[in-house]
Amino acid sequence: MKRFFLGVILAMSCVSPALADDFDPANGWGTSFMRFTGTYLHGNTERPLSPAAGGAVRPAGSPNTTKGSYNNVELAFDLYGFFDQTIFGTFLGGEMSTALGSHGQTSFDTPVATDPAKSKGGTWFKFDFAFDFDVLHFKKGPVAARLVGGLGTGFEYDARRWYLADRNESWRGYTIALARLQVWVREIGFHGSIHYLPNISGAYKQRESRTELCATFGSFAAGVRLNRLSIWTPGVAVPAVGVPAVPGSLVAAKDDKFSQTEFGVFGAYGF
Amino acid sequence: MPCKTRYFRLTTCSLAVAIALTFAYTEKEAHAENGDRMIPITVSAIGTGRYAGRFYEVGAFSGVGGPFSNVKGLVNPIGFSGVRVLENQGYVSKFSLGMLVALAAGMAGDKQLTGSKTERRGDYIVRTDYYRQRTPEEMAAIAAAPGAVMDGEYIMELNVYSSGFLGSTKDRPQASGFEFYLGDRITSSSSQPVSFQWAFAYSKLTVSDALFKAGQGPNATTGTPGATAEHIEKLTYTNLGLMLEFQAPIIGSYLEGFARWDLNVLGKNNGQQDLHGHPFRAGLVVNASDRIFGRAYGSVVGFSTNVGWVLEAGVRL
Repeated sequence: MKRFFLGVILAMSCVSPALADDFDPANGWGTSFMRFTGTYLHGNTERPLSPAAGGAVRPAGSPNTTKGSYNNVELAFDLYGFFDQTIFGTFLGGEMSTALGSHGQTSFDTPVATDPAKSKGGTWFKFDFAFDFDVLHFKKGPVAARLVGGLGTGFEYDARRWYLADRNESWRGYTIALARLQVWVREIGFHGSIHYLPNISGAYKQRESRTELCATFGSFAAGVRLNRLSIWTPGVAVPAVGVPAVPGSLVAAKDDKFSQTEFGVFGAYGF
Repeated sequence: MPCKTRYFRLTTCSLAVAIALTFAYTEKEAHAENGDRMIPITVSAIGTGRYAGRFYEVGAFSGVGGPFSNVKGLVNPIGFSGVRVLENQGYVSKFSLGMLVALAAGMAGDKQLTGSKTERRGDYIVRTDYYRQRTPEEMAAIAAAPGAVMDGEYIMELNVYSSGFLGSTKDRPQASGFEFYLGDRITSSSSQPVSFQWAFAYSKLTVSDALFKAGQGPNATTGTPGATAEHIEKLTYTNLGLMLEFQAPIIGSYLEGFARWDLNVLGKNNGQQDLHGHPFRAGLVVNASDRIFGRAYGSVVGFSTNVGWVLEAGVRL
């Protein structure tokens, strides 16, 4: 136990061995690395119409959803490490991730019936951690690989995100189930990961996934990210055509599903 | 799709995953001979000796009955399918317990309530609380408690039941929910030790579409419409209490037997739909290798003659 937390502290103190040259996944416990990441994402969203303050009137024939887009930038600091192993050779460790970002104002295709106060950009922050299990790993000649699974939890603060602002919430908690495949051929690596994040707080049922594909060379990495979010509304009746909706409520049918997709590029430096 | 076909596919997929993982690990052991691996492990040699070390079990299971095996009047028995995860001496349980104790230690403060007195003063009722300052020794013990808990070794098990794996219908009702156990295991010192486990237990299972025969079911006697014909009712099972388990080797490291009893402190059923039984399970563990296992067990609740069964295939990591 003490060795586990000592490993985390060592990693946070930049004393741990570097990943780039001497990393051996088949002999990998005790290895850890940190990563600074910069990301740009372009977001597309289809969300329920939210009436303007004072009660907007839903025009005849209008849909109850609108599409829009926005830009998002973020800086992240991640920490990964394995510090112990089971009797069957599974490496045990953890990962922590903190990110600070900002998303711009959303531009809507049909802005007339959308509450401007719920379309503004804003700064956001997230923190999460997970227990990692390196269940498969090998190294043969110049090729090395590992498959990691993990479980964890985290929270996100974002007072301007529409699905939070619409319910007068500013943060949400979520659980994490993750899988990560890493393959190296000498110093060139290919990493793919997916994080599945169902929320554990808030008024909406949210299912979010974060997918990352990247190539690494030594300490540098570059790749693409895809974040997908699906939301089920708590069930607010669609107002009849021509009838003012209640301000602050979603103009959505019960169990309607809405989506948000972010896609972009990132660059990282690991050490 | 026929029910048996679904069970067959679930079991086949589980075994395929297990076999694939075995080949992968076998590959690793080949490297062990070359010095790449840190811990060489001989296949099928550990048996019940595994409980002395840190490991995980992940398995997929399917069966019928379980905690609902004593429910009378069902047209079809309640089915189960899901995933079981066991952590032996792992960090998730250490960390979770440590955080809980650290939270309690933080809330304890440096004063202890020794008593209260309530008295009437005119139109007011006044309560006076009396505290004493904790001694330095007590404060040191409180401060050391989280670390002591994290230094301990625990065994944790989570069974997640999902009606989504096989699909729940009135002809094949499936339970959803979970069973959670967290405790400790005492093992003998032999190479194939017998072991005794105790654990805190909490379970919550739900069956939304249990089909009962006419005149049967929890609401059959309460005048619920439909009770005079085949009808669907909702059942829940809640368990809060103590789990006791005894496990022993039968044939070397290949075959083990176990018996488990959930003692439910919630007492009598809370209404006829919310069951609070004491499931007793007994069965076998077959170790195809150190890392691949199968489990089969039967279960009864109380003195019911209805016996449930569960089959599981899994891997150890």
